[in-house]
Amino acid sequence: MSRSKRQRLLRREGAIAIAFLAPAVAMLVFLRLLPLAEGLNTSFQAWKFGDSGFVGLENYARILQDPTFVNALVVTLVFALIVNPFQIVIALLLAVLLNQRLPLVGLWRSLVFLPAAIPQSVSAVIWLILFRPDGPLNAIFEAVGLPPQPFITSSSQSLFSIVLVVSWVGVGFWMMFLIAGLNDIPQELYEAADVDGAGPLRRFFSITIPQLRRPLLFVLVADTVANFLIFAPVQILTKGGPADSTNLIMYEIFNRAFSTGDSTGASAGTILLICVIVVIVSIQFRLLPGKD
Amino acid sequence: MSAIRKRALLALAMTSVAALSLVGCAAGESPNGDKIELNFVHSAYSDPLWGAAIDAFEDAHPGVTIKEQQIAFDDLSTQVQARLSSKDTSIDVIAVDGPRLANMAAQGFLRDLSDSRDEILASTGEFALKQVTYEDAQYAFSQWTSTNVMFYNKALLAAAGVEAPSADLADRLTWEQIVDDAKKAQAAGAKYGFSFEQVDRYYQLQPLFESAGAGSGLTGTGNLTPDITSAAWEKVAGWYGSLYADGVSPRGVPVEQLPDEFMSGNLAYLVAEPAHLQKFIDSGVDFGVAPMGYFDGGTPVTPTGSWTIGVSAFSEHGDIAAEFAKYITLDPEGASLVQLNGIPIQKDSLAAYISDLSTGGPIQSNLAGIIQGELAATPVARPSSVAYVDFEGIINAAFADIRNGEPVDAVLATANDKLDVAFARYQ
Amino acid sequence: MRPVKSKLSLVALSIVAIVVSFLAMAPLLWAIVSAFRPAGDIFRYMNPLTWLTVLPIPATLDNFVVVWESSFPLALANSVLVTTVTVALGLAISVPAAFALSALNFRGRGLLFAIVLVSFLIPFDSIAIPLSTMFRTLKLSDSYLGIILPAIGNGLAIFQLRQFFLNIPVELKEAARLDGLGWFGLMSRIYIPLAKPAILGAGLLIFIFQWQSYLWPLLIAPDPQFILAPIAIANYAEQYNVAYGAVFLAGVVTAIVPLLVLLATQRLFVQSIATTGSKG
Repeated sequence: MSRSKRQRLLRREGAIAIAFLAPAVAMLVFLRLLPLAEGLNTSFQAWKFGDSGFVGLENYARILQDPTFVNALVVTLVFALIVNPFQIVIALLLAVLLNQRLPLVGLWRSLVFLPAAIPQSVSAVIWLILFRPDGPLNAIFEAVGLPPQPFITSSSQSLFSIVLVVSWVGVGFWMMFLIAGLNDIPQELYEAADVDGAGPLRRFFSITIPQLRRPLLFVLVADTVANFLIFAPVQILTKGGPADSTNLIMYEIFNRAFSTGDSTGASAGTILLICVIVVIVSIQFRLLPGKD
Repeated sequence: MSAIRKRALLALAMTSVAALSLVGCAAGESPNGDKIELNFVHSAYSDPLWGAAIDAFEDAHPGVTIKEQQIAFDDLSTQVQARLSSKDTSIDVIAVDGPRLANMAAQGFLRDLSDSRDEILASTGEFALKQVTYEDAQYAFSQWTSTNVMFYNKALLAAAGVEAPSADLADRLTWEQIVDDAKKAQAAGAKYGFSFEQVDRYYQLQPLFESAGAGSGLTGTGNLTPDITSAAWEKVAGWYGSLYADGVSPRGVPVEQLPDEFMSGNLAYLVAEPAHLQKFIDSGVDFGVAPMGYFDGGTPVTPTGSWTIGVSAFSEHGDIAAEFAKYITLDPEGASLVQLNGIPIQKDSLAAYISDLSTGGPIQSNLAGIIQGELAATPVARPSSVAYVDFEGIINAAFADIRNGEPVDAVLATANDKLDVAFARYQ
Repeated sequence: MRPVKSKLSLVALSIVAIVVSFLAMAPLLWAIVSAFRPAGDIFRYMNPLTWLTVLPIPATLDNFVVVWESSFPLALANSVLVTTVTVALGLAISVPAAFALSALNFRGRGLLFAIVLVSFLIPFDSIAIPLSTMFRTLKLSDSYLGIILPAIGNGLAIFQLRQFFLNIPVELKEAARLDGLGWFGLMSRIYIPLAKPAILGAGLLIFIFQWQSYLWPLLIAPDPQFILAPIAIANYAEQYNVAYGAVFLAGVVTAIVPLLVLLATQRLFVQSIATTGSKG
């Protein structure tokens, strides 16, 4: 193909692409990027009660000097390091299990997915009761001879309790995407491996994982983003405590924006949070590159 | 926003909206000249508390309809903050939690209702007037007031041989005595001895500090200086923490579930809102009622304050909205039509409430006596401060930490630092 | 789906599947049982474990009455309506976008993909207040459209679809083009049929976003006629009283609707590029 012909083709595909993309991009720009730009603008405005005007980076400086905010960032990163690998491993195991031709497998999948469909306020209230030191979970522990646990009333267990709740909600959801991905793997690859006498573990690592690359990248990125934005379970279960051990960044930002009316601090926090997520997501794209 | 940016935004939005017009048009109503719709935003209740009063007001004002927007209790203040900070005109009348009034007034959210100052004073009294005043202007009308009492389980106390506390304010017990008795009840089989209902809320715990002479926790001009690390504050906070460390009070039971513990017969003493009376009677638990305790050597103090009704500064129908707000609060007829969620504060309604209650039965009459006595002698309001919202969030979290067993001095020191950071915004 | 080789492993895997499903359901089962208890009994038998922990004795239907007479039925109907329209419109704009990002070559593709990526990294709750101001200026408050619009622009769904579309062999695309199929035909006759599980997944993403939405509808459509299920449930928590039985019952009912949809669409999961593509 000559250079000019290829360029012409590219241009034609470009015009078609614009037609296909225009509604979605318009929506995303109008519904996400424009309000974000407004937020960016807010983050440069005066923060003192009753003041107004441009103050440059003062809000960024102020929240980065606020130990509560910095602690929230640290807690969120620790949370992300625990919750994301945990959820993805479990979701992958579930997907492999429930991608087998088992009786009623559609029902089992749906039941595992179900926690994601309950309103978050309801599931958090259920766990609030389960976690009571005199509640059903400890009743089970005692029945099998384990000592009762403090769960969300202890600063050493509260973050893990939140991990448990959001994973209960999340793993079935992400599993669905991995099942869809597993379905796209050609059976012949497995049959060929069987002929070669490969065991299940080798099949998993030499066929399943590489073939699942794209769906896995999606789940990794989407799950990471979702977990950075966790907020309702914290609000209902721990309100960030004890001793700020569960003060995830989105709860901190929500409190500023909605409770105390510190919209400039909330906006600066949001921008910083987005920067953190962008860095982490870029690393994930590097780690699990697509073919293109 | 600059005009150009606004236009660009509008143009972009219009194309998107046009693309989606198949969904149906926005439910915009044509302003029909004389037809006025007022939106009344308040906390959600299953009973129509204002239903009768709204009907009466609508009958007296043809063309005016009142629409209630109910928002869950926990979300009301955040929603109102979010909507009014963006100057939403779809709020006309708002239920304002008393101690948040100063902040909302300072943000310019509330209409100045100072012309009604004399009527406020005449129908709700001096104390209520102070509650709705910020910088010498009035911004709302009080709907209810509140106090707390101590419910006790008769059977659990009898099993421990503990004498039931008297309903007479003159025989008020000390907290030390009450906790002692609670421990005895627990030793004799009660699952838990004693609990505050609003475990981590400043509303119910402020009286402890005030009773011990430790102060409200806020001092200085405009109540913008935290004062929570004094020896007196640490002592009271330590006492509160010890209730949980000793297992007298149940750790990890949320506010909303504590009345259930009392109704299930698991709890010997519960300091709570009188509003639970009917629920407790219905549950069949055998209980009595007594005044809240006080610290040995200190003074008796009870919590107070409740919802007030304000008018949004952004309302397009401010005059009629103010008239409605006044009707349901200060007007003897209107106020009498509002169902109870706490104790009425309009003087005729309060008198009727007390007299109804005192003839309802032995427990009711004891309760009426306590409420009347406490409201007259012991209430201390939460401090008026533009930074109250920040203060409440930080101090409630500190109480939760203390309840969960974190060291008291460290918790209060951290909370003090947080208050300094938060208050810097208001200096 | 993978066929299972031996009878023994079929039984073993089935048992594991049942146990896993039970673990996922256990907290819900407790909530369902509690929905049949009278108000005073909800916290009565939870510790220590007895038969009464798992059996609602005495049982009552009081909570059904409370839920039925509250705003929940209207709210659930609204939720179903709003979510259905959202998913339909959301897919209608996401599928072509993802198709363009994966099947077409054009300058600026990287930039547009970046916009898609950034759009779902933005915490929606953080932009809700400025967005609500924009919506009010456009007279979109108190309308279904106001509730629906933000959930339609779902960058995550586009990203997800793109990942799966990229798995469709390029040869298939080229063959179809050589046969004279236009771009729209390529999308509707090749890509969409081959990526049914992925489209179901994208629908799921849009669905969950809208089904769970709470803050936004409260902010933009506070008029009671637009109430959604999560809001109606939150309203059971009053200042001095929480109707826990009603919360659980309505919560479970709210989860049943998606459960039914998911069960009905399970067969779409068996179809894929691997099963249909290689034979086609």
